[in-house]
Amino acid sequence: MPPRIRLPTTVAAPSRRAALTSPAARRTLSTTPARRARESGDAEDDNVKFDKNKQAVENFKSWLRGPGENFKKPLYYEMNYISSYDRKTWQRVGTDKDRMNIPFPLNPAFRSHPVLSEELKEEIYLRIMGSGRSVRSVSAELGVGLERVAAVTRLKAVEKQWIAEGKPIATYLTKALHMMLPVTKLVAEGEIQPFHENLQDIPSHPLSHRQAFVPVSESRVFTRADAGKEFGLPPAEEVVPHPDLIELHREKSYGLDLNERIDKQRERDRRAAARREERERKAKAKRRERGQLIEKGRWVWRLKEATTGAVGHRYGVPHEDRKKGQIKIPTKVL
Amino acid sequence: MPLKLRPKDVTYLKKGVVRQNWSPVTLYNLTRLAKQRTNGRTFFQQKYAAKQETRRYHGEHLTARQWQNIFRHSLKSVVPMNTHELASTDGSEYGAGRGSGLDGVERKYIPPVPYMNQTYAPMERRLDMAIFRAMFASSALQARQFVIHGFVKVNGKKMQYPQYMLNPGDMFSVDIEKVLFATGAPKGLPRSIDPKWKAKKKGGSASAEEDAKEGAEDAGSKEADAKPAKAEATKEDTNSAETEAPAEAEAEEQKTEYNKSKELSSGKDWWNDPNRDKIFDPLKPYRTPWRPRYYLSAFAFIPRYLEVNHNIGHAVYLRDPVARPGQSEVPTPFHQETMQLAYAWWLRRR
Repeated sequence: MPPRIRLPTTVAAPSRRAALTSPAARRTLSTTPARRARESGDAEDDNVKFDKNKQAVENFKSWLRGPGENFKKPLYYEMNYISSYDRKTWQRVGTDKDRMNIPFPLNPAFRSHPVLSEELKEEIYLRIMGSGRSVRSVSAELGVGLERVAAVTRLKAVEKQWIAEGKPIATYLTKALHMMLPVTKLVAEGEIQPFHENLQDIPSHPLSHRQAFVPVSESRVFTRADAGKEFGLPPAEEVVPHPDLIELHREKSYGLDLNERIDKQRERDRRAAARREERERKAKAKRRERGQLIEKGRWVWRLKEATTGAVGHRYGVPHEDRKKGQIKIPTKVL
Repeated sequence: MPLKLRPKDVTYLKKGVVRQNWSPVTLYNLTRLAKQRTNGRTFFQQKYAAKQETRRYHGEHLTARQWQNIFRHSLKSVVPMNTHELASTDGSEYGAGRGSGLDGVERKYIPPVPYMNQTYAPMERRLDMAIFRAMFASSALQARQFVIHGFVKVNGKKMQYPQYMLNPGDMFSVDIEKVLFATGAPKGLPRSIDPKWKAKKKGGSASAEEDAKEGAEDAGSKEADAKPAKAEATKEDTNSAETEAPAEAEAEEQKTEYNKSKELSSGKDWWNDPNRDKIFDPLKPYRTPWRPRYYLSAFAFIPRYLEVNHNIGHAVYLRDPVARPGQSEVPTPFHQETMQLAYAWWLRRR
């Protein structure tokens, strides 16, 4: 038999000892109607069997009428999680944002991260689709992660399409939710936009998970690049999502003036664009080599020259997809 | 609004079960949730209890085999780097002296990475879980139903498998009407034609018995009328819709007004949004005019690995949830030690 879990309840189950205490004391301590009835000392009440279900429901209902009222409606100006309240007195604890953004009181490692405000999303969309800026530069300027900038643009494009088609959009839902969530706002022009998230996160690579002991002479300067080489990985300043920001920072510390730095960054952008174009051109050429593509309804055919007798080892062999245990759920949708 | 508890809910209350939904029962159980009790228990018992408790929240509708198939012992994390530090140093100060940095150099305290909270990270990749986390459904089970009933698309194509594992960059969408149904208050009549509310209002003058009778009659006639008379209702209720929020007493009304003024000043005025229909529409499955459901604010969060657009019910799965020093992106209500025990359980035969 599996072990039984017993969770602590806010109101402890009445013990036999409770019956021995004075009636006056009991009356002051009792909170719920059922307990009051049980403890009122009547002879017939002693025979009533203690019902755990009833007790649980009554405790819940009394909580809902008391402290639970705090959570019924949003606060309209800040987050309203359980952790924002003292769990004994159910009073709000200060205005410290670092303590307020924990939805689950037992798990402080999970925090409610801010969402982008509608104005900021619009700004991202306008900079990319309107001004034709690169995702990388918009990400660095507004302090929003690369993937997020791309995602916001995609989602905004769908939204604009809906508006153009005259489909109703639920802006009121967004507004209602932004009332309850932390929001990163767009600052006024001329001010510096605070970071929405850290831009320079490196995924921890499995190759670096081993502990390495490298004998090195004391006089040797063992740098980040050397450490990377030991694990067979490029140095950290190259793998971060924004290596350009590091270059810019360095140039600033070398004492280059603003115009020079801007010129250098433009040159870097130009080279990156050229690299991207080259890559796309190659991919296109490769696709063309693969054969003629015909898309019709649900099917895509790729026509290739072939000679009979040399069409592959599975020619004429039936598929296994009717066999038991064959997974047919798609693993990707393109 | 009287709260209806199903027999199941009573059991959840008795056992203190925290489930993946936005119900007040879950909220109450969240306030009572405690760390796993370990004293006087064998290691096996501790692990078993932790597994049992955490699996009730994480993918309750999955069989153990289904979960074990997607469980991975490797836990993903990221290292937050600092641009300024990367530009100004070459990292040699960490290996200076005898190999572990010079003595007496003050280093910033870096909190440990909560790897154990990543135990259920593969679960968050599932399509139904992502829909719940994006706040498109009020529970994981409802999200699953939305998928199976064909209201969900992935990259513009209908996807009917709730167990589809999202890939980074996948855009998924839920029918916006379903999202409004999940996040909105349950269906009910606006005050002007709600027999209960009318009876309550009259209570001051007439006797209680009469009121109940009238209320019942009202209910019959009005409910019969409600469906065909949408246009009529539109005319009648444009004014009454403004005062539609079910406040129980005068004090409540005042509080609402107070909150509304605060909301207006903060620029998040959903109430007067031009896109929000102010009419009573009996054909909609949620309360019209729409308002958010109760107890939503205690559960409202969007995890970092998602980018959500609630205007259209679309979201993008940016990447897999990761851990970083002091933080974990997997939303779990359990204590780190409980998660560690659960991880040890799932690691068992691997």
